Amino acid sequence: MNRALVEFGVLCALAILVCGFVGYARRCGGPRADGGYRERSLLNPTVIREGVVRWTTTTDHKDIGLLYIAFGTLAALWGGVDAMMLRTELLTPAADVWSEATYNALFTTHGVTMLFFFVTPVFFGIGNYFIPLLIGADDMAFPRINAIGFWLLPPSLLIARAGLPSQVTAQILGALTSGPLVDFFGVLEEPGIGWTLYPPLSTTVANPQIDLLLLGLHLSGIASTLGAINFIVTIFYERETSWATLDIFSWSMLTTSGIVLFAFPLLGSALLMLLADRNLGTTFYAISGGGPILWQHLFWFFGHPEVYILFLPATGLMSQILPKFVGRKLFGFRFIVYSTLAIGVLSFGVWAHHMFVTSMNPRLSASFMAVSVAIAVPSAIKVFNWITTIWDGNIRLAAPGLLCIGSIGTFVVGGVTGVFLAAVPVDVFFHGTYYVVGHFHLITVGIIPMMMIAASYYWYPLITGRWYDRRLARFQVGLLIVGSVVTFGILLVLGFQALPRRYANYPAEFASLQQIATVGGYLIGLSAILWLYNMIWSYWNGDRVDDADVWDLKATDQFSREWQWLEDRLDRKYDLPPSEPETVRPAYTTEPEKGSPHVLSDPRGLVRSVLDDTLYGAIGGLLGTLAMSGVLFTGAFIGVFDVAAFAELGGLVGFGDDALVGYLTFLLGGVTTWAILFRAIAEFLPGRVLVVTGLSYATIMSTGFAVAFYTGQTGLELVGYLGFVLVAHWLYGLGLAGTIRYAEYRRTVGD
Amino acid sequence: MVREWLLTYGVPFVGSVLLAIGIVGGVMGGYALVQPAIGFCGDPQITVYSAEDTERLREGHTPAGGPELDRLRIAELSPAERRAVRAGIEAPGESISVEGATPHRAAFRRGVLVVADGQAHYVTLATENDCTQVSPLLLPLGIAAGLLGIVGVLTPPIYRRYLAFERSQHGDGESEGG
Ligand code: HEM
Ligand SMILES: [Cu+2]
Repeated sequence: MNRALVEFGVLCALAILVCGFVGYARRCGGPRADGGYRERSLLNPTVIREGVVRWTTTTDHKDIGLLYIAFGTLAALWGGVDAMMLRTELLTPAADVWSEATYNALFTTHGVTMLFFFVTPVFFGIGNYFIPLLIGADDMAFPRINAIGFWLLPPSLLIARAGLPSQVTAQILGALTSGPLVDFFGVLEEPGIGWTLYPPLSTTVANPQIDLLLLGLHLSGIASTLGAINFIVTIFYERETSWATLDIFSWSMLTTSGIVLFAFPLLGSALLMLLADRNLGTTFYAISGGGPILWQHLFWFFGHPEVYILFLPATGLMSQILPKFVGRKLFGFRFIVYSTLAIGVLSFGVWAHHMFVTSMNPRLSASFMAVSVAIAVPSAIKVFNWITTIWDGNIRLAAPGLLCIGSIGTFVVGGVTGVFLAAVPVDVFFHGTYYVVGHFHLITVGIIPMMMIAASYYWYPLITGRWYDRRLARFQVGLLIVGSVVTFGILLVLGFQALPRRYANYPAEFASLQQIATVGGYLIGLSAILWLYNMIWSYWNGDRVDDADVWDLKATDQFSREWQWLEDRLDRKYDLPPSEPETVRPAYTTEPEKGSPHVLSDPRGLVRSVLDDTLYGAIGGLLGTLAMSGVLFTGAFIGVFDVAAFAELGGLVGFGDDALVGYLTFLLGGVTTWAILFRAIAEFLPGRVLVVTGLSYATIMSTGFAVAFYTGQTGLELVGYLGFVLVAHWLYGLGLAGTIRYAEYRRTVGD
Repeated sequence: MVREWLLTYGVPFVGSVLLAIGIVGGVMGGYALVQPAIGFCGDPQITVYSAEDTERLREGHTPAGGPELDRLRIAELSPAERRAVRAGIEAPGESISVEGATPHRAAFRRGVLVVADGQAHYVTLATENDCTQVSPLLLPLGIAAGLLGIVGVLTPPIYRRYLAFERSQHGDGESEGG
């Protein structure tokens, strides 16, 4: 009920923020001293018309690649909002944030959106952009089919997820009027049947949005098949390189496309039968006909290969990018190719491991178990080859390199937990618990988006001609890795304790683990936003690339085809010769050896006039103490800090238990004693920048304060108390050191 | 070097964690505050099955093979419950709010057969629709943690600006790159 408005509101807010930010980033990237030009306003009608015509009619593989990537990013944000809402629901044991029905709808739409509308489109986008460059083709084999393949996706997403806009329309209309139109829109609700769409649930629930979802999935399957055909033909017929020198990413996209070609038509047929069951009274999946288990066989015969459709391009990117950041060629190239092909074939032979608990014949399940364990071998080969590639390499911790290493780690955990699931007895126990969710998210988050992001950073200079913000990127990567490990590691733990998945309610003893997992989930969400920020901001404001060898690949002889293409283009377009100055230094830096020598100034230089120092120390102390009081009183207002603690102080200095007197004493102390102490020992405290010294000083002091003013808080109150004390002291330290620093600044300028 | 790392990665990382925790506190605390006010909780919701579906579900299960369900006559229900069941019979399978006293909540939770106009309808609780129960401290602490987190996330650029300020103060005439 309320969920539709919440989700819609969040999505609209995101959209407005992003659009506003795009405008802002463009403006900031305006006229430049280096002779750059200001771009025309986005709202200019000509610009809009030209843009619309260009992007809707393009058949250039690079443009279509970008369209795919943009579409996939949008879908990821939509599905990500679902995920955040799921995790929000799980903050409390009872289903009291959203209702149970909403929770069911959320995990359904989350799964569907992520699997069908995020991963495949983004990988197809990367493939579209880079495969022609990597194999030396001019374009894809069928540029127009390529465009059609892309343009089928937006309508399929809209059909599949029409429930949300429809509910929002119904609620807005319903607030104004009532009548058949409102009912019409109100009928479509996001279905809550899980992405596996198992009958009998999916055949008996009346919601017509389920039919639309089936149609949308079918359409996206058609789109993927078109794309896959295009990749296969392109790699076979437009290739300038020989098979022996075909790069690893193209190999994996080729295999993926092969799987798509065999898997998606099957999904299409199964979906059509389900549609017929729902609407035409057929009994393919009814007990009286084929039975619900038939659906499971058909679905997973598609579904398991689908898992590898999602996963193989990620391994291709890993094998492509990792070597560039460890300075060594990919170890065992051939074996990685073989393992990719092996996975392509084997992936069709293991579907029934998703059905171990459907009372299969034990001999049958034993053979499926054997094949399923066997399919771990090619994946393990890949991992060992990656590790061997890293071994003894010259590891560079740029963002893509970090991502590669981090995601090998998460993937190993995700993969190994999968091997256990392939064993029948273990699966019988863990099936339907959070263990499964933890396992597959360690893969679907631990390698798939990570490799996409790695690719986005790695090729960013090639696509945009600019650098992304590299510090921010490294930070974002760290956040993503930590967030994933926390969130999905905890899901594994919950699974070990046999907490069932897909329930909005859970027993209260799991609450703290679930809450930590949610915090981790929000970290992932934050890191996604930081990534988006970086991509948009740097597109107009990043440092320009003036040499195609941005990653120093020539030094290790890994300057691959797509970069040569960039070098040619830079040469042709800007007449930029492929060279670089001997050394470059950033405009400013905080490293002591580099940059200006005065960056880290010495507090000793401060001491000029004792009188001035004392005076400014006192003013600083006053400012700091006042700021501190503000925080403390806020804390008192909330109820985590007890003002009565001041009264004790008053009693201590002999003025009786009066809180006001106590507070004045406190103020006086802050202005004199502690400020003077700071002046005296500032030199010996960590941090050579005065403000940092002040912060360290205040942090140390805060422990004493916390003990002295403690009034018996426990639990959340205690956490709040400590937090407020710490922040109050930081403000004190900043006020103190900041004033002194400012005073010195005034003096220097006045000299 | 260590401080460089700390300020570029450590502090913003802690800031992000705080921000995430702040979102948790803010969302939960804030939602708990507004939820009853805007009527998003309180009334439980029930689902009523059509007479045919009820028959189909019971087929082959009674009396031996399945749970023994209590029977209630619709007249026994409280007015609110009666209204909800009537509405549910009109719209089988949908969640209907019970707006008023619900003395038979326990029976609904277990699942019960309600006899109306001579036909039995299976009625269950669709959702209890509890109100979120959290400590009132959660909202302010969440907001505080969030604000602190934002400061943490913004530390690297602030610190860089501060260093630029320090340098300009020493007037070593270098350009203030940006
Ligand atoms: C931001 C990171 C993500 C978070 C916090 C998250 C969270 C969740 C949660 C809480 C569930 C429901 C678990 C249950 O109750 O059984 C779920 C299910 C699922 N997620 Fe995610 N997820 C994330 C990313 C992804 C990605 C990137 C993919 C795929 C590429 C994905 C695919 C799925 C699938 C297929 C399901 C199963 C849906 C079902 O049970 O029918 N998730 N996720
Ligand atoms: Cu499988």
